[in-house]
Amino acid sequence: MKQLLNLLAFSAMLTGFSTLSAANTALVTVTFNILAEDDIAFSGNPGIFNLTPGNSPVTDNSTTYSVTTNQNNQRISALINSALPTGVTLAVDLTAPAGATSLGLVNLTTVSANLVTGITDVDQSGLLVTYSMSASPSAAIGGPFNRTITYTLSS
Amino acid sequence: MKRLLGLLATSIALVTSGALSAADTATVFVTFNILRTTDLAFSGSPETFNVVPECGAAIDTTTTYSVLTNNANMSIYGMLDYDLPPGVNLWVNLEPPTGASSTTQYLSSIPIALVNGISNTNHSALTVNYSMTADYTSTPTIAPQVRTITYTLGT
Repeated sequence: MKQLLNLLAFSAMLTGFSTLSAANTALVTVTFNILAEDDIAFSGNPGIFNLTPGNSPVTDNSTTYSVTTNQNNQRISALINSALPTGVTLAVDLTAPAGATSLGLVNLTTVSANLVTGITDVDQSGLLVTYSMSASPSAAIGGPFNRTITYTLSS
Repeated sequence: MKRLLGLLATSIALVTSGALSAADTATVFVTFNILRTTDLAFSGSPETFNVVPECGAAIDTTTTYSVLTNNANMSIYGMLDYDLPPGVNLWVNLEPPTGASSTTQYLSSIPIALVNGISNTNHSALTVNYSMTADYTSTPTIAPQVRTITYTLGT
């Protein structure tokens, strides 16, 4: 009887070992997402523009911007919050990050306009921003005027 | 002995850190002033007048002028550095820019308005009409006489 019990115990143990042998690997499934990253930031505001109607445009290149994206073919567009006084123009030129294309000096209005296109997988800073303002002779005296430019990085 | 379980599958969902960046827009503030500007210029001097008393006016229309202003209701005044000899008269008529009015005026050492109502304008190549007469009271000149006309754009 004792031998039978020992035999049974041994068999159980063997069974246990074979079970452990089947469980010495385990499969684990990992699921993850890489989210889109879009970031644009400007170093500050340009200096105050003092415009003499009829004169050459006044430029400012004292600020820079940075752009980060892990997406393809993004663009930077911009618009101003309200129309400029009659005869006044405001244009901006953003230096393009590597692989992208700048549209050069673009006049800003209340309608969004592209400034840089073809931005793909970049993380660059210190990119030059050039502002250019002018007033035609028909521009009425006045100021200071303020406008807000909203830049957007998007597809 | 309890039979151990076989395979153990565990699903672990991993989500990479970093939510979608909220910085895909940036705002920049632009401040500007439109300054006062005025500019008046003449293409040159009229030809020398050879005036025969009582034989009609000597006329010159060979010169033009330009005017630029972003002010309202400006006038152009003219005056001589010193008066003409007795019996000699110099008249001038300036073609007015759009929206303004002009009259033919006799020039003396006292300023007189030649064009009125000049507002927000930028015009060039406007005709200058000079007319010089002499009557029988005038004295023939031994040498050419010179006068300087001062034109002023002002309110």
